[in-house]
Amino acid sequence: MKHPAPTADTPDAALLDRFAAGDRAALDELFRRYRGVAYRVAYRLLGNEADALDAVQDGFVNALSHLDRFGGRSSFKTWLLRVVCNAAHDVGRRLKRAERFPQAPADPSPEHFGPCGLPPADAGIARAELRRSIEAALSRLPAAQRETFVLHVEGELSYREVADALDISIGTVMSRLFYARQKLKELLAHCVTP
Amino acid sequence: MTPAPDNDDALAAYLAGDPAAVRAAAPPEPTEAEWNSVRARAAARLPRRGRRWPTVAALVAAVALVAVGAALWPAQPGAPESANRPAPVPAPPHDPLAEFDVLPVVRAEEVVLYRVPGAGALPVGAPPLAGELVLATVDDVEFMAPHDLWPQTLTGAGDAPMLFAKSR
Repeated sequence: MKHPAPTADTPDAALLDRFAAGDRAALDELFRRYRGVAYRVAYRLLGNEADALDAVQDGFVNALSHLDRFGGRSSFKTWLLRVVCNAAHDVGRRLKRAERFPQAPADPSPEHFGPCGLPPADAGIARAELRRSIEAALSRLPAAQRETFVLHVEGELSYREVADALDISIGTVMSRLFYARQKLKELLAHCVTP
Repeated sequence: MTPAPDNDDALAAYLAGDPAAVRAAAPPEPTEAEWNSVRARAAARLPRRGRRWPTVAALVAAVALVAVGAALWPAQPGAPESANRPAPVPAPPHDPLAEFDVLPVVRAEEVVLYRVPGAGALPVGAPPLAGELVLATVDDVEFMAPHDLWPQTLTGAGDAPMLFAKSR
């Protein structure tokens, strides 16, 4: 049976049913709908565009290949971001094995960094610099805190959804977010506001 | 040097998850060509779905043929009755993780086993700790005041924000 082209109003569940029935237009719509948020989460976990796009690709493939494990227990977005996080970790591990995983911000030359290794302060800090400061600070968070913070802030998931995505309790989500914000504020205060 | 108030505001808003601040600090967006490339590669890796009916039909036909053949095959005269009885199907082993989702972390070919500790017994999948590990009970926790970074903390009864104890 030929389906009408999916629209932005088509519910995720309907798109997944259509995808399961072999409708590639449903896949295109799911990809268009969630590629941005999946990319932002992967980018914040990996720190560069190319690796983030690899993780997005792996994430979509794994999420859609294992829909039986999804089972509709959460939203598709929550499920996808959970799988994208895992894919980002896999990409990170592969890069680490190849000894080219960036532990520092994109520009590692010492003159571009302040005393704590982050970009130095500048009253007229540009948007790009703000972004780099955030990236650098995020890279210094413990992995569990970074993942939780990124899923909540960049992935726009609620506490409940983050808890579902990471298979942890809401209390743990709140605790990790608290310490992540505390640490980020500390890092950014020292390095952006002199 | 004086602080940069605009940046402080932007950072505070970002840390609080303000959507506009998050958008302002968003990473560089890939081009449409890059997105198309990612989508095409993902689509190529996904199994084709919805066109499995010929395989299913062939399977059903094969099963039907075997069933008909088994029904029409004459029983061996003089053979003990138990020989014609189907062998009992063993019960599937209990899977304690059956209700949990399992995500693939590594593939079998990515794991190299160098050494088996002790006498050579390898406990695969055994939980590291039996039962619950109690870190603190309700009586051990005292909530003094919410931190400034977390203004929405509720201090009313029953609103323990960070530690939860299982009710007994």
